[in-house]
Amino acid sequence: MENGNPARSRLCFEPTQPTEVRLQHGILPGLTLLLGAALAVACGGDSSGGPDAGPPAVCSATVASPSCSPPGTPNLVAGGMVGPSAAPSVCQKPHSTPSVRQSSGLVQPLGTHKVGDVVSFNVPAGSGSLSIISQAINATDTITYKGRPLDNSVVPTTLLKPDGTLIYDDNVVPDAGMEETATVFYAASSPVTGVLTVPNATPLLSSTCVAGGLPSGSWSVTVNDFAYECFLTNDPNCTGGNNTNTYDLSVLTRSGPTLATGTIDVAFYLVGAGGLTSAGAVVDPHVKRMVQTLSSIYASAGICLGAVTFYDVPAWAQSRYANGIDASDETPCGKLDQMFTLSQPGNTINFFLVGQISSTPGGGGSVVGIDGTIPGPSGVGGTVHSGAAVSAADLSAGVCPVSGGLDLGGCGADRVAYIAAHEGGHWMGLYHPTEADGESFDPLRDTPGCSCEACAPPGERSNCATPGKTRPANPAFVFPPSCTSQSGGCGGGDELMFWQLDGSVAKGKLSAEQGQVMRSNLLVH
Amino acid sequence: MHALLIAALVAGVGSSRQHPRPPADETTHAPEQVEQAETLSPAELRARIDGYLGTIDTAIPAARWRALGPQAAGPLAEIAQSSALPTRRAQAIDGLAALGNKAAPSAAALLVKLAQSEEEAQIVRLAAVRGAGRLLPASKLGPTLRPLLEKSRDLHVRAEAAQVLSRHGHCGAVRAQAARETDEEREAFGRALEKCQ
Repeated sequence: MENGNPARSRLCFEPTQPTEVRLQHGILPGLTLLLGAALAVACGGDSSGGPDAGPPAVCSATVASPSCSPPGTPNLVAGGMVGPSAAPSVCQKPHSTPSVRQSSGLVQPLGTHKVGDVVSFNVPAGSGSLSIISQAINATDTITYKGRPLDNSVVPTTLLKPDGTLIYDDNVVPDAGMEETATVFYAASSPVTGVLTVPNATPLLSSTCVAGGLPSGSWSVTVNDFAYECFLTNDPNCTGGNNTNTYDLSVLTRSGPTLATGTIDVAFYLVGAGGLTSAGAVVDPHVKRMVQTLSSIYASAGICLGAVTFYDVPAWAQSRYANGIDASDETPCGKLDQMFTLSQPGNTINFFLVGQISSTPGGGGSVVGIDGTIPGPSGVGGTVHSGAAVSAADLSAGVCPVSGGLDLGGCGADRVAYIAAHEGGHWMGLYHPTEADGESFDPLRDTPGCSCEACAPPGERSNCATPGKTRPANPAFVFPPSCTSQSGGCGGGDELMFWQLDGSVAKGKLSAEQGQVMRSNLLVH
Repeated sequence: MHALLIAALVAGVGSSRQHPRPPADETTHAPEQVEQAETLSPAELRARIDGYLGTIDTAIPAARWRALGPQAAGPLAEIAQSSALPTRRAQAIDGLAALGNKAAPSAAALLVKLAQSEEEAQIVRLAAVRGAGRLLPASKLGPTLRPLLEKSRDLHVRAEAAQVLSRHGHCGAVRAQAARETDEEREAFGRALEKCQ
């Protein structure tokens, strides 16, 4: 629970991972960047907030008066019915007013701006993180590139620190020698509403830790989306660009350095959960098991579960969304995004429990979870991205051990919890440490990588989607059994955020930096 | 910007929100096409199947299942009928359907049986209905799925059958069933009715 402003001391230590880190920019796979001394931050160094020489550091704060004791004591609440009683007849693109807990953050409304506008904002001293939230006032949903529609994602760009240092430019692909531009990572497909939260990559995480906060003073960002980039390039392959889209911008800053422990509140929307109601959920043994497992997974990152609120949704919404979600339709007016508009105001992770989540590319298939965007719009409920969908089809299936920890293969409640924890990790800003093809990676130094060329079974390595080579029709994937090394370069298969769940390998691990990213989120109190 | 746009178009993997679209070469819908099957030992095959079945938010394109070849049909059918968790069984059914009739000649009968069983988990039935729509010949689709459309006790099985039938010209039956549903239940028929417009 809330605990004022506890006294803190920071402890820095060296990550155990090798120095080569593959750093992904945007959604371009395969960029590699050697992170060495140039990106390292001296433990206990000065408070300039910038990269400095010395060993790499990770923020692992210790708190004299911890905010909570993980896993905490989740409080299950029946929230009753939410959402309109009748189905909306037209696509909803709500624009919501951001809010944060007064004691933990500050909201700065920046007004409506056109793409290309440079907008300044103030970051108070001691701010642990900032989130730039862009919500469309008048923006096109898609552009067309080489004849194919592409979501018109919000892509804030040209983020400048008070000293004028450029720390994120969407138009520049970072490579060796341009490490500073890779200190912020943004790779979401996020039309209509987008959030950029920093720090979310190793260099800025480290410097923020050492300095006790982000550099204070006047920052600036340029309002931007794909349509504007399309307009600027004059590329004949790109149509639908314009320079007229407008967005409402807000900056939310989180006060104080990252807590060693903190509490998050979550909400479950019972869309397709086998007839479960909010009143029944709070006493359901499978639900209790799921919440217990979710809290135990997040505990390793220093996060406690606080209020866990269950909401019923109207019958029309159950009919429309319970089994009608198509993960490959991420358009703002698609069912996935429209379902998320049922989420309530407040600072919670919003899990939508559905039945099946189909995925139509390639002729059909299904997934068991999907995020609304990365990171989720903490502090802004009701937008087209204010949720994550999780299949609840396994919730009451299987047999769960009375003791002995997780059983991800046989206990449905544990499996649903794991999927929810994974999607909640995306909400709080985490990416897959290694994507399925073993060619693209998250921006954190202490998450083990598992590259296709080094870690796939030897017979499959010639089929890797190696950058610069012709992409095979079905490139090799890296699976957890190939990614179990604790000391070499082939790890991560046991991590929560690995792209795949193998019940015999998965342990729900979270690294120190992943924990720092999560606890920097505005959700945490 | 080019980096982002091009990547968005060519990226084949990743959580859906991170990589918006599978690449064109992985989206071809050709259920009867038998890919050049990979040469895998039984252990490698099982590992590959388990790998695909463990996906969280990364879609496994049908072409990947097809590339496993006919040897995958047996293990997938076994999982589809097993006591494994429902999502695992449903994903095995997806894989079985993707293999196609040439690679999995007995899959259609299995999927019809699973689709018709009111005792099966909902997600298993939905995958089976969807898969049956890929495997059954056009002449058998109506006789097999219309009873599910009109008589299944589960709204979502009726709706899934409607969706399959809507893609094969059975719009009269789809519209008629939608008209029999309540206003709220009809919301589940949205995609089928859109297809029939």
